[in-house]
Amino acid sequence: MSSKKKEMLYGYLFILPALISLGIFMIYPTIKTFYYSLTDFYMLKPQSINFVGLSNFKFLFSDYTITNAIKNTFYFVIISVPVQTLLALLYAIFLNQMFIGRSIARTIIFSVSVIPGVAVANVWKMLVSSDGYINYFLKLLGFPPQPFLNSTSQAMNTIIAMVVWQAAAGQMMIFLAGLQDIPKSLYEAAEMDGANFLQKLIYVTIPGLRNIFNFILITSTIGALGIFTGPFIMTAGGPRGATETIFLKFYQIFVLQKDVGLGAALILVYFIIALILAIIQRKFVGEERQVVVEG
Amino acid sequence: MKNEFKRTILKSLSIYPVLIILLVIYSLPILWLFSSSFKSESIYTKDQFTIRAFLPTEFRIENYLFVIQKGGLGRAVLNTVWVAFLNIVFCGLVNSFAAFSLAYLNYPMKCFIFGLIIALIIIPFDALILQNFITIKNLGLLNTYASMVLPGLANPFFIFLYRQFFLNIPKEIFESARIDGAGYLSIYFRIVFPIAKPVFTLTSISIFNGMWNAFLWPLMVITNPKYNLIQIAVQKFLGSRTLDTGYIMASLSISALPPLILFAFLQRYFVAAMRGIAK
Repeated sequence: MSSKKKEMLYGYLFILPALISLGIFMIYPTIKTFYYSLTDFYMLKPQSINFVGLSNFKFLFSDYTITNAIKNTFYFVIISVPVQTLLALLYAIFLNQMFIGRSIARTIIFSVSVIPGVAVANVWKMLVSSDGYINYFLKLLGFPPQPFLNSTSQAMNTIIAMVVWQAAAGQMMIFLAGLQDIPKSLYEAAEMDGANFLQKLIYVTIPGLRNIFNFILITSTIGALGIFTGPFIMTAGGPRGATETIFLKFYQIFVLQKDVGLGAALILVYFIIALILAIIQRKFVGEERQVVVEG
Repeated sequence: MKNEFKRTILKSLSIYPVLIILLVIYSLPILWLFSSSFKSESIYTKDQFTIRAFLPTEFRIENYLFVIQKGGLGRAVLNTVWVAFLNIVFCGLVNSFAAFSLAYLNYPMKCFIFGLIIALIIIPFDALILQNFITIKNLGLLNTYASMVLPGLANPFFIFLYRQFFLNIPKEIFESARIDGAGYLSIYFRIVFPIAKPVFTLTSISIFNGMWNAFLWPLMVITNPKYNLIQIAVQKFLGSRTLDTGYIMASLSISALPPLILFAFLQRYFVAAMRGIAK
């Protein structure tokens, strides 16, 4: 065999396992999910799959519990993403100053971001319970006790507080890395022009972190759209649907009720929004900068 | 020099008030979690709402023995480590093989294949769980370790990451090995793999964390407690009966500790992962 042919053969052999796997577990399911969303496929009756057009989507947007779950998810995204990003930036600027114990302080805060969601959600659930530490401190400060997870108006905000607490700690580290890349000379030039702290922030720091902002805002928006573990553990969607989310509803419809058609339609809502965001990100930031940091 | 030092100290003093508030918000819940995990119910109650609640005033290892043996968490830890290991090996091989092929070998359709893989990076895994569940079910793989390895085997981003790294290895090393008569497989294992160790470490940490944190997918494909992954096992154990606080905290500590330990030893990789990926 000629060396050219051999190279070709090995080229295909090396990439084949990945292509097969991508085909079965990424490309095929993408197409299949779109297809199922247009059918009445019910998992316990796999023999009778009928094409039903857009009726799953019509149901989706007319059923109160589903629109409520979509609305809650959007609320969660719209509040948690900007707040955690802003907080992470403030942490980074604060911990970027010179002081003794800086690196240990960074490590302690950053380490919180690697703790699994199950542990964080259970700890927070205990902290905000009626006899928990948060209500204890509120009492010390002279405030009345708050119902938190038991109240329709406070439950989602409590989950947001928990997510923001943890996510800001992780994003802080990305911002800190970004701050190192802003040339010192820019700050010196700004100082010579008499810029104060706020002006330096607006005209030097924030523009210098533009790519990092794009990266963090879009990856955390996609992550937030998929929120599941927190509300699953803390409230199971309650009270009265106040913390129901797209993925909690998907779990009910697909896993518990075995309704594939409706489940596919619902997960497509997530899929399409996430896809649009990812495409926007690629347009803005380019190839190298667009990957999710796990954990 | 001396002035510089003085300034740092003065600056530190002005920073500490805010810093202490920040550290309290972040470390007290964690200290409370780990301290309480070693306490009996009577000591826990006695310490509650005092400073002692955040300190290890008792060292009752029985809490851990109970949740590991009676709670089934020992089994779940082993399952998770095993599944993570399988993923690290197979995911590492499949994706780095693909990247090796894309970086070094020439063949028709290569550009198209690379373009396809890059395009797939934007597809979120979570959106595919519906059909992947059906596929796993039809293959008869519900309640198996394979159900937690196969769907994530090929990862377009890992392929991209490995390829970037491989392209930085000088082509001359590769070509001289070819002239010496080395086969492609031996070039991969003897030359590329050892040089690319940092990127393999990075992906392995990311895979381990992914498996250790996995929740929704194992909740769907595993119903037999024999195959439970750790987070599911903890959640099911906590929901199964009323437990002493010490047991609850020991379970949650087991869920939280391994990523923290990994982080303590490999912090520079965590930072590098974020930094490399974010820019």
